[in-house]
Amino acid sequence: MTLVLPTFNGFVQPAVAGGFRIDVRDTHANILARTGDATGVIAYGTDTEDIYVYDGASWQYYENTGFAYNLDDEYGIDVVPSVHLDASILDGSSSSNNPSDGASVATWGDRSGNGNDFTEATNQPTFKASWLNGKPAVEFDGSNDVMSDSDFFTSVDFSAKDATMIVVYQPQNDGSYSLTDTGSYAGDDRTFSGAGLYSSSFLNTRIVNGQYNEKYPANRSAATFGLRIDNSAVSYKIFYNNRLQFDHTSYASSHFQTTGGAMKIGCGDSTYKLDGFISEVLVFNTVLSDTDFNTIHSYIDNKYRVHQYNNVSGSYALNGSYSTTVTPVMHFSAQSNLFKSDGTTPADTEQVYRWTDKARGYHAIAGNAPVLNTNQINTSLSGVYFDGTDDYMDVFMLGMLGDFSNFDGTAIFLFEPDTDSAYEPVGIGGGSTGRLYNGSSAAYVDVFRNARLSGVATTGYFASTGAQLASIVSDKTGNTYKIFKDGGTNVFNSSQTANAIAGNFDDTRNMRLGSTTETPSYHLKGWLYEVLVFDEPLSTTNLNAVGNYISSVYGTSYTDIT
Amino acid sequence: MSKKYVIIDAVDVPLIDFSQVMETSADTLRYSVDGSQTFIKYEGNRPSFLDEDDVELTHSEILDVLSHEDWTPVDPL
Repeated sequence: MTLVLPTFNGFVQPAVAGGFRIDVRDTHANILARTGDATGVIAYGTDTEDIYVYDGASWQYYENTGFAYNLDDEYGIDVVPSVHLDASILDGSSSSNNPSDGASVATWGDRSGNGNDFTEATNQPTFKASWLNGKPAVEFDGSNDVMSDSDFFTSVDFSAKDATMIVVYQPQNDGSYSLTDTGSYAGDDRTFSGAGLYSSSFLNTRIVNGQYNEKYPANRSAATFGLRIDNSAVSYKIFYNNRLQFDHTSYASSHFQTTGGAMKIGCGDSTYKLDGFISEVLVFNTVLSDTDFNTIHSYIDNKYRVHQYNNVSGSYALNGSYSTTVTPVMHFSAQSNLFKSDGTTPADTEQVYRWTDKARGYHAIAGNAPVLNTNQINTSLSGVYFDGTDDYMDVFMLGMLGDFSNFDGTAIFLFEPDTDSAYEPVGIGGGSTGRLYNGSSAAYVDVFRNARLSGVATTGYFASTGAQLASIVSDKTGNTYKIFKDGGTNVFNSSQTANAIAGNFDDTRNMRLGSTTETPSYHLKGWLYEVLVFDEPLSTTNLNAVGNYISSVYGTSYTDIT
Repeated sequence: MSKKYVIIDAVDVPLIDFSQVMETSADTLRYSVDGSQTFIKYEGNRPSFLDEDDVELTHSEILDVLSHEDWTPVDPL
């Protein structure tokens, strides 16, 4: 047999029995070829560091990613996880083996190559074929569903007392749950419970002093849980969406203890079962580097569109002519960053599944998708049309996305109701009965409020038709609450006080485009063009910068606020 | 092409094939105030899981239905 090599600089490692061996593995760590195997003639390109394999019929090319472990074709890390459960590859081998939607999950295979599969004989969760961004997840019922690997902590050495764990999940309005059972503490531990943290992950006790401020973990939102335990640095850090939530050194070394046997997912020790979805679990018996930790979060963002915290500060260019001195937490513009469920750009009248903000890359994800209308305003500009029945888009984990610790904020949005007499274009905080407009000049607005106003008198308020710019400024420190329509003067006839609290950001009523927060209601029938949110009360100068930017782009009227 | 809307009983939600409708999932459906009914919307072909007697509504017709107290909570103003 004559082998015809591709043109390259390098050497050929022929098939040999024993001795030097080269493996070529796919992104799931499965062996594609090995020297010594019948099909394992391997050539190595010394200039490109790529691998060529003769499979018995032809030469195959494999790019050397340079990573110890490939999360997918784009992202890789320098450490192989101890276990990697990925619902997209439920058996740990191939997505083509995934079961049908609703099937019971008896085994969730480890795709790391370490064979740490999770199983359940009786209380099996179910397979959700299309969860977020069309990707699968495993659904736990909150009653008794659980999966476990009975010998995980005997198979994997955690004696160095280092650990990293990342879980991608979404509770179904579950306010007290545990994602995993890893620590020896047995009892009433859970990842999250109402106002506080009671985790015992990798501990022989539970943490009881964690209290959340505005950065609530998920009750309902899709989120990424992260844990890094570093014995040498003596740190125990919990993250949500790659933002540090809790840092407590005293738990790192003195309390580190695994179960010694089984690891479970979907539950705590025996109670606080998760009612919700888990799509991915990665566990390492090392402390991941910042680079690898961040890479995994980027992979998650790219795969599921579960956005990760992006701390950007300083001035922000609205366009080439206008800027603000502070960067918004998010800036959605209907002129860009709109995507269908397959990731492509929608055409006129097609559904918009994802709307990604221009400032920090955060996502609004369709609960029920609105549609794109091109050439809708100012001749050639687009709008996102919500039909007033059930369309809305969620911005998950609002409290994590900026610094709302002072409970201040500014929301500015350009919208155009399509003959709609009661609507909530942008829901932030509030509840299910607040709305920006209720068919009259009496205000029932709840944006950035714990409770809505109740029929407060206004002058020059919003209307059922026409493009309108709402600038809502909640200043908790100054205890003022103001609304401007198309700039000008505060619409309220009498001064209003601020009403924001930490609960505004607890994600049972976080941010929603097209409807109210808690239970979607007062759905907008009309178009959204621009939405900007800031985590502080904007100065008059900045308010006018945004207002004049909107006016110049969309041809809408605006009067400087003085 | 205009959308069509069909009100269905909540007990029939498990029968919905979400690949044939514009809603995303059972979790995002809008329900009546008493939780007994919901609706789906679609363009083009009528979803195969619907019964013959399920009535198609236009956009303006469904908006009229949704404006009633059965679908929008009465709020003490």
